[in-house]
Amino acid sequence: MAFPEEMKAAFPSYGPDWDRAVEMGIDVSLLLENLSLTPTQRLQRLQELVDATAELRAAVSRKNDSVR
Amino acid sequence: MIQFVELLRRLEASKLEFVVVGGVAATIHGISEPTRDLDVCIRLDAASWAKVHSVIAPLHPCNAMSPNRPPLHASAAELASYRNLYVQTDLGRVDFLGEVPPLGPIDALEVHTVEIAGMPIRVLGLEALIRVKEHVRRPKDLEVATQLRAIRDAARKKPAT
Repeated sequence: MAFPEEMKAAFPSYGPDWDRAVEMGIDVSLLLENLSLTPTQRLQRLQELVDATAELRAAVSRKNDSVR
Repeated sequence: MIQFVELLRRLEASKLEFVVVGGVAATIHGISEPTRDLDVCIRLDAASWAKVHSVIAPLHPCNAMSPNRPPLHASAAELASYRNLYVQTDLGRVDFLGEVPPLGPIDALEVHTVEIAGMPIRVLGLEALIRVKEHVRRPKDLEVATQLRAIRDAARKKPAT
C-alpha cells in the first residue's frame, strides 16, 4: 500500500483528475501498469484476480469446515 | 466462476448485437477494480432475445434477481417481454440490459471497438462510462469514475511535470 504523498512524489502529474485520484488514495501505479497492457491482457488480469479470489474463499471455507 | 472471454466468445458467435458496459468495460479501459459479472447492453427486439436464449439455454440459466435463484425456463418469445435480464449461468453472471441510464438504449451509446482474444468487441466509450458511473453514484461507482477520469488525463497528455 502506498500513501498519496508517496504516489505524488513517485509519479508525474497527468492533469487535475489524475492529481485528484492520487489525493483520494488511488494507486495510480496500477493504472499505469494496466494502460501498458492490451485490452485482452487487462481482461486476463481480471480473470486471474477473480479466479484467485474464488480459490482463496474455497480454501477458507474448507478450513472452517475442518475446524467445526 | 465467471469466464469472461468464453462468455464474450459465445455472445460474439451468436451474432448478437451487444455493447460491453459496467465493470468489464471499466477494466478494458484500464481500471484496477475487480468485478464478477458481465454487463451488456442489447437491442430490445425479438431477434436479439432469440440470440440471447440460444447463448444462455445450454448454460443452465437461473434468475439471478430471485433469492433462491430458480432455473430460468423462459422461452425466447417470453424473453422478448423483458427490459433487462439478470442471469446466473455455468459461465458466470451476465446482465442483459435494454438501456444504460442516463445514456439510453444501444443506439444512443458512444462505442469503441477493441480486440479481445482475437474478437472485435464493442465497448462503451470512456466518456460515456464516466457519465454512467457518475450517474449511478454508489461508492464503488464513484471510485471507478475517479480512476476513469485519471485514465482520461493520462490518455490526453504526457506528464505535466
